[in-house]
Amino acid sequence: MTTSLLIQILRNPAGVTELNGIAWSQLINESRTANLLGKLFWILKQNKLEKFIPQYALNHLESEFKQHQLQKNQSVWELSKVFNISQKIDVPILVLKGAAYFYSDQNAGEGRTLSDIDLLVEKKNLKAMEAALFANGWISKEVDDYDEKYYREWSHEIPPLIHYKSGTVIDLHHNIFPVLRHLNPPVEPLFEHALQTEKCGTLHPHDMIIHSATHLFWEGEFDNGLRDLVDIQQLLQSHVVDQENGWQELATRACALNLGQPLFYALRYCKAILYLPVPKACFKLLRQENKSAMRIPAGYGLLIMDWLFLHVLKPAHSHCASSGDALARQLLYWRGHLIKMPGKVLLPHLLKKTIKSLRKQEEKKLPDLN
Amino acid sequence: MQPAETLGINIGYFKVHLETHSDEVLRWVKTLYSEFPRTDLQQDFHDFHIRISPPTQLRRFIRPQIQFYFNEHAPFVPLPRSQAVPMFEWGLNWCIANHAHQYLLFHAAGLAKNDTFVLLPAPPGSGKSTLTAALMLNGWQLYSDELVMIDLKHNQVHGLSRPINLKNNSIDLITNTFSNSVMSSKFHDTAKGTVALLKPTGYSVQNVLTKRPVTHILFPKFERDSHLQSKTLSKTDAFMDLIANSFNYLVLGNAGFQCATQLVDSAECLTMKYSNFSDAFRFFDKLAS
Repeated sequence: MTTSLLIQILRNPAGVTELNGIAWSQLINESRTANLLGKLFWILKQNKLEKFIPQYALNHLESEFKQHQLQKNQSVWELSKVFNISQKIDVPILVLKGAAYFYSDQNAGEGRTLSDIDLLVEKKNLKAMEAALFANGWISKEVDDYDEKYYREWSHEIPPLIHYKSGTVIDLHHNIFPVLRHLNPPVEPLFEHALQTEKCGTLHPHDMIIHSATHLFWEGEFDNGLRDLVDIQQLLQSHVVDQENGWQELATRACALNLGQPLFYALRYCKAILYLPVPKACFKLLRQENKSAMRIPAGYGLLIMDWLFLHVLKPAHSHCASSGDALARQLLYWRGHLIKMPGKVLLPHLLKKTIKSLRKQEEKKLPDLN
Repeated sequence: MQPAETLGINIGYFKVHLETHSDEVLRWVKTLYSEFPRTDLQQDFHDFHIRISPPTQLRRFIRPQIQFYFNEHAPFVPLPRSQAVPMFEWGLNWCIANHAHQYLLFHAAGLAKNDTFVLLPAPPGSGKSTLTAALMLNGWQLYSDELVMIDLKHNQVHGLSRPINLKNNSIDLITNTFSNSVMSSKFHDTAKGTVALLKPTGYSVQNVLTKRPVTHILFPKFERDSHLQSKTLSKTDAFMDLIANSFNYLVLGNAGFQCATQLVDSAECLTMKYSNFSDAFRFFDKLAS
């Protein structure tokens, strides 16, 4: 498989001291494609390699980092408004993923960009929180009846809410994974374990890792796959690697939430792709403790999963493309759907979606005929 | 479809890597950018990797289209193939406006003569490009027609002497008035009507690396049959009007504020109403004397 220059630098940041002009072009391009340009800059700064970055590359790294900082400031400001709203109606609320990394100043948030703010409430509070956000200017994006039903009944979130003035998008979740297959963990333990500062709630760092792993390895979309893997790596470095019993507690927690399998994959590929030293005992423990219906594959099964994931957990740039990429992406997309929905729901859903998209194309064509 | 060809162009402060299947793009880019040096495709760092090619969908057989790819991703919808050349220019502007935050970037024109540098911020339709083209062909050095870049460290303008995008009636007006103009063919039915690209003067391109402080900030307005009128603009109004024309003022935060205030403080700020070139030339040459 062709190696990505970005992945080589993520493994060994000091490698940038060896790069010539054309290699810097390649590194910047791959990083931009993978949404990791700001992150790369932060990593190089952390490793005191800034002085080895030639001015022409520094311009692009700094440009991206400035955009990240603006986004971080804006998101944190928007979140403070959201927390005021939730406090007023006395609904506990947790921030998830990128916005949570920003809000709690995680290394994982440094240099990162995001497209929306993900929030988690308990299902019993969903209606109240939705109404309160609505009253404060977040309105639902237009979706048709079928999508509305899909979101409300089968998904773990409601249709995205967009602020009429600032344009900020909020995804309001009542679970961290679609509810249909009953693979989803109960939400109460996440709230019990959460970190509550004065106003803000975020998941416990272990739960952040497990949630990010679940999102990455069960959802079936890998546009930001490598970026999400780097998030997980950085959370592990901050909260697990140097902690006594850190690995053991993390693995035990994941299994208790029935999410041992996605954590297993996350650790496996953090090790294989980013060379994060994960102790063997941790993998062993995950295998032992995993009682979930989602088994951890071994032998040939695991070889197949390696083939699939190693094809998609890299920048989607022609520099590092190899044959099989498109097939792996397609197969994992289907796998994601199968994890989310049982076959008897999935087939009619896909049929409905296909008909809808064909009809939409037909509508788009109409003006051309006039 | 012909095989793709790759060009590397050094436009002064950026190196552009252009790959295209369109012979029209190749022909016009080679002509309009002929004064700029080529880059070494095997060695050099390139800031922007651009590809101008038909989109991948099957519908290209039904109606020929062209797509702009930046770093292999298409940020815009495809356009009819006849608009490939302006699409390259607009796309390159977009690349710079979104990815060059080492500069405070203005939607503006910029021209210099002697020790004078005039920054012309103006919304579309104010006759800015026509005036810029005329001044350039009358001996002023073109710094930019669309995008003025102020470097944040020294508050100086860095040149970007790329072709000037002329629209509709301006095209014939410039061609007929200035015998020294080199113009591309006309591209019809674009979002901006008919457009054509005017080649920058050799003098502008050869001096592209000369940095300059801004001496004048001038808001021009073309008004038919009017006498030339110019007024001093208050620093506060100039500041507000200036940042309203910035692409990345918000991204830069405090650095952008510092840069914009210093620009306004150290430059003479004016408005100008004009209806013909000869009045405008006299006015500008007075600024430069």
